[in-house]
Amino acid sequence: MTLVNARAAFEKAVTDAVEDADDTVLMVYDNVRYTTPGKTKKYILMTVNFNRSTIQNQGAAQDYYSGVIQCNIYVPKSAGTSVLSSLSEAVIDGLTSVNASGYTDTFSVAPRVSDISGPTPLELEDRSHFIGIVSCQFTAVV
Amino acid sequence: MAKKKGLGQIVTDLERKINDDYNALIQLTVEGLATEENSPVDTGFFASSWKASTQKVRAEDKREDFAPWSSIYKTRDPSKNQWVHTSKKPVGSQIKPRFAVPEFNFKRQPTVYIGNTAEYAGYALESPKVANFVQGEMGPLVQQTFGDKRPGRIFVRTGSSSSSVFGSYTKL
Repeated sequence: MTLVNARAAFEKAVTDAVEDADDTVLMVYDNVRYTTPGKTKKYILMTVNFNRSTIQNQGAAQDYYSGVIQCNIYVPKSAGTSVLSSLSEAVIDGLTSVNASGYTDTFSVAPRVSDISGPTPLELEDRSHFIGIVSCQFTAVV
Repeated sequence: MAKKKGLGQIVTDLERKINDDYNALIQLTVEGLATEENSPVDTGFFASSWKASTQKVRAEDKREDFAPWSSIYKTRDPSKNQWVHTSKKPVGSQIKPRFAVPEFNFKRQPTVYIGNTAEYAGYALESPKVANFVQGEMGPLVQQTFGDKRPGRIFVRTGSSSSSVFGSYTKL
């Protein structure tokens, strides 16, 4: 279950931070079936990709998960880029919250994130939403 | 008898090694990006359009202007005897890198940009594949390339079939 817990730790951290900032934002996760939200909805698509699952020390292998998290933040163009900025900030706060000394490790996976890239704006003229991309590497150890 | 080298050669040898590693890293990065694993693929034009340059790479190439990708969404209409656009791909995607990676000199060209020339590159970046490669695999690649043990360039096929040249191969 550690793989599930590792994913859950990051998803919960980001979701909590986003809900605190704006509870009208929909969170969409890459491992569940979803329908793309409508043109007027603010939503965040969170993807967790695992690149590594174990580390081989002497003796038994240890669970050591690492990979990349990408959050695509979608804000209707009518809402303006300031909303995109504030939501991006909430996502970044959520990601970095796992590194804080006071973080409660509910899932017992010692989650950590490295330097965060973004928010990178994507300028797509024919889309109904402004899009910002925030991504970072993560690790989780059991 | 082995030829002796003077200490004065150390700087030259070191610079040559750094330059070789620098070019190997750029080459491996472009090769790595031009795969189905690390770039989103529909027609294969985006994955084929990675370029290394000393100047920032501009995303301005239209798929419709470059063969073989220009005809991927075209089919022959016998009634009109002409090529027409179709929403269903009659031909599969093709990954064929469009740009050869030039040789760089780390002293004269300390900054190299690797970017994508496809006009719709912004859309493709919504996929996490590129970030996954850049953030997840580039770090180890840099360490291996600039270390004493150079990364291998042997590719092992792990999938049963693929439309891409590099796709479903694992780099050892």
